[in-house]
Amino acid sequence: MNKPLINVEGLRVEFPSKRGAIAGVQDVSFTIESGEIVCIVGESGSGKSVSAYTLMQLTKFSGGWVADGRLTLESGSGSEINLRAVDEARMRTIRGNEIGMIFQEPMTALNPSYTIGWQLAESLQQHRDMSRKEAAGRSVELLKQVRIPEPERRLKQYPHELSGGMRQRIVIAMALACEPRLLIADEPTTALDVTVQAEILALIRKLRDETGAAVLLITHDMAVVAQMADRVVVMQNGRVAEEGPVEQVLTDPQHPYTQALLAVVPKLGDMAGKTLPEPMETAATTEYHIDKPLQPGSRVLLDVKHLTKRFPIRGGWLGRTVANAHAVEDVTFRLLENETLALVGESGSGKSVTGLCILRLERPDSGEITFDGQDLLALSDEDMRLARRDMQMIFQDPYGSLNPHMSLLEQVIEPLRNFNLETGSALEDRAAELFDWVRLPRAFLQRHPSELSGGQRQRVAIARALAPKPKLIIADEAVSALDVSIQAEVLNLMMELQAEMGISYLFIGHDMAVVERVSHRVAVMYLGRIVETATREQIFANPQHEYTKTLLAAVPTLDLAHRAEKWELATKPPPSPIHPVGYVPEPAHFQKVTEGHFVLRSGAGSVDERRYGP
Amino acid sequence: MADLSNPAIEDVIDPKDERENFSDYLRALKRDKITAAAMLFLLALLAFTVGAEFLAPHKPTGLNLADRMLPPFSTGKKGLFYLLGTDELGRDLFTRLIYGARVSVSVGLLGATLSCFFGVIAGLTAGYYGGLYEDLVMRFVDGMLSLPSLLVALFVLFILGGGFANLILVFAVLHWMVFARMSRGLALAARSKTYVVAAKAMGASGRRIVFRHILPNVVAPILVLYTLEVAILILSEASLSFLGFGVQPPDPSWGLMIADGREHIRSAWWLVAFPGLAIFLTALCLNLVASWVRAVTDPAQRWRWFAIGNGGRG
Repeated sequence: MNKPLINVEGLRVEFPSKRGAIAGVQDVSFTIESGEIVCIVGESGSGKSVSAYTLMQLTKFSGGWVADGRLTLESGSGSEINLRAVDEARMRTIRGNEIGMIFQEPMTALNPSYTIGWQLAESLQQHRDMSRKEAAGRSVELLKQVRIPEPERRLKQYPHELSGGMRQRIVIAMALACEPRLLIADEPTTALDVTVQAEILALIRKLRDETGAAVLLITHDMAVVAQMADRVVVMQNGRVAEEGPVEQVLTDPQHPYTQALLAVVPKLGDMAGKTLPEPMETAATTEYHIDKPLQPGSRVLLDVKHLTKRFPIRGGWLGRTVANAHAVEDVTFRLLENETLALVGESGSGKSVTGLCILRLERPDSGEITFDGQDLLALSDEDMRLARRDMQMIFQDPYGSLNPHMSLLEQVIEPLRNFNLETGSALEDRAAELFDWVRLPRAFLQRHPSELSGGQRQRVAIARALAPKPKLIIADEAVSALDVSIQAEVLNLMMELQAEMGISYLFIGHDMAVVERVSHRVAVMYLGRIVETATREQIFANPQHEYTKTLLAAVPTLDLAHRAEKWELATKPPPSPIHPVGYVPEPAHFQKVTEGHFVLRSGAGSVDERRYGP
Repeated sequence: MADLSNPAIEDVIDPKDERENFSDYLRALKRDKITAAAMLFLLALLAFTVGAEFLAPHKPTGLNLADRMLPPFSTGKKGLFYLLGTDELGRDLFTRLIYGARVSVSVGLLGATLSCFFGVIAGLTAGYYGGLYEDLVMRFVDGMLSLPSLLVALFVLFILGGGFANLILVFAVLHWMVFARMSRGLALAARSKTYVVAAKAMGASGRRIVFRHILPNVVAPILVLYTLEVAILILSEASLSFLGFGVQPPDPSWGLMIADGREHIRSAWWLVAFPGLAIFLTALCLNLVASWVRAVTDPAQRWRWFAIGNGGRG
């Protein structure tokens, strides 16, 4: 076979706009050889997904159309199929049979109302004309192939009974069902935890080796590229910036955009030997003025003691509480003035709930929260509302946290209005001033959130949080949804504001490389508990708890020598924080490692010893 | 991070360019021919309702026993032309439809508006605040919903007496629960949205969250229910008028016309067909226009209606 499996030449995809058709993708050419892993990497809006989706004629569902170019698939017998010209009926057989698709969100890619077995069998019966029995047999085989333990039992389960990683493996199994020759994976690990990401990436590589299917991986993450790709296509603004073998692109990038993209990727270990946070490296032209070191103060601003939050799980007759999910279990920490404490952990570790409890957006079950000398849990609802003036929050998803029906001006002045800080035209002046702070043009004040990009939206969220001049900002995964270059800018902005205004941050996150850059101290959370807390330097140089070590090891790096295949696939389901009513977990007991460095030693409770015990 | 969204949204720079003006709306309407037709129908209906005295070809209650039961497009004995025929008393159907629109449309609109107003307030607050308040409101709603509404309407109208204002009042009392149920569900869903949690974190009061933050985001489904309710109320008016508790004959209303024509459905189909068609078309057009208005006022969706492109929609 000397013809490439996929050949794309001079592709141009157009979308409708108010000023006529505009090109979302233009002059894009690339090839995929069979058995090859090609990564398309780029930031949001670069056209990376559009380019891949045209292969399956999926762009038309979002209003786009192919205006120019050649798209061909090698048919297996040496002839070429023109993917641009095939009709919908033929395309349906190509989807699934020739090209399989793995979507980003394993939560939504599976139908919640049907069992895993039913969903797997469906595509098999449809595409392969199998009987029910044959399909069931093949389903078990497929689940084994994606290393799902106890496959027979899984077939009878519903998607919600499985963890995110397991679900993504099921989605991969479905994509593999009809043995496609090309797998398109659109950000397959972006929605997953970092340890699960490592597993899924390793699995995709293994499957490529076993089945010989080519993989087209769409990602925004250069580290994922380094882990996976044979060849890389770097995209920018709808065009191909650079293309080549992974070694060449990563070690000797030719295009300035590729160089910039590589430069802004925060690398774990960059900050070794430094005690204070430092601004991120950016490729952008905006200058940040952090002239004084980010030295924390000495006064305690926030003091959290033995914080506990459980969510009742109701069931049975009359909706009685049948069990409790221990979301936050005996969490204790302090935050100084002008300090950044990073709360890190994976989804379900209780880090976000901790943040919500501090603002009393969730009511904790027990514990003490003292903020600026005030006992927050003793305040009346109205006093608590007023207390929130000094403690603001930035949420993870800038697409969800801004009200789609309000103009940005209204959103930014919302806290000023609620706390009666300004009135009349002073409101608009202050909004303009805040927009200057976060470097957004004042003209944007009249816009609605849908007219902004993700990074711009997150700046609006920051402007809004800054409006009442708070002492504490809880940043809940504030940069996780942003492109790396924008991520760096937003983080630098946050650090600049800290230096300028003396704000304390509770930085909730999962990206260890980012955390290393911005934080003074770090607390690692796992299943509702803080398992290790120390200064940033201590934790990165000398992690003590098993879980901290796993977390650090799972971070993908740009290092080509450490590719993903070594990662072991977990076969056990993650331990559950759900306990029967009346279960009393052991109180947290910490062992001192060095000054300021503590590690959890009371293993029982929410922390599962079988996996990450002491 | 799927970037399948329209790249135009990310890239447009000039904010002045983004505010749609009147001609943009006209152009969008021109492309969406069905909505344009619906809007024309509603405008015509409005014109006929307001200017019935000038636009109607005959008198609404003018008896003309010589021209009884004439089919559509017929000319009477005295050379009068009847576009949609006449009824059993020889009254012009088209004229009565025009005058009937006054009663039917205003009963439908006012009744639906009142019940929407109270229902949405009760439902949104119940859904957002929860707790005992929610239980009280929703059980009350359940109780009201289990009453046989026609019976209650008859009873109340019997005591208060029939007529236009009482009819609307009864409709509001009997129909707000539908809106309450729906808005409660919407508020429950919205309560956990990040922007609502964010509003709370920014110190917004409960009332402000419900009416400034949640309400604008749940208008769409409420609007759809509203248009359906208008049609239902027009029909309810029919049954009540038929039973003698609504609009009093000989004043025309669409419902009354259907009720009267019911007896002659075998011999004079047009007596039922045209009022029925009027109700149907009004409801349909209201629905179409409402969904269009919802779409073009949605900041996230409206670009689709103003976009220019040959391969896209339109």
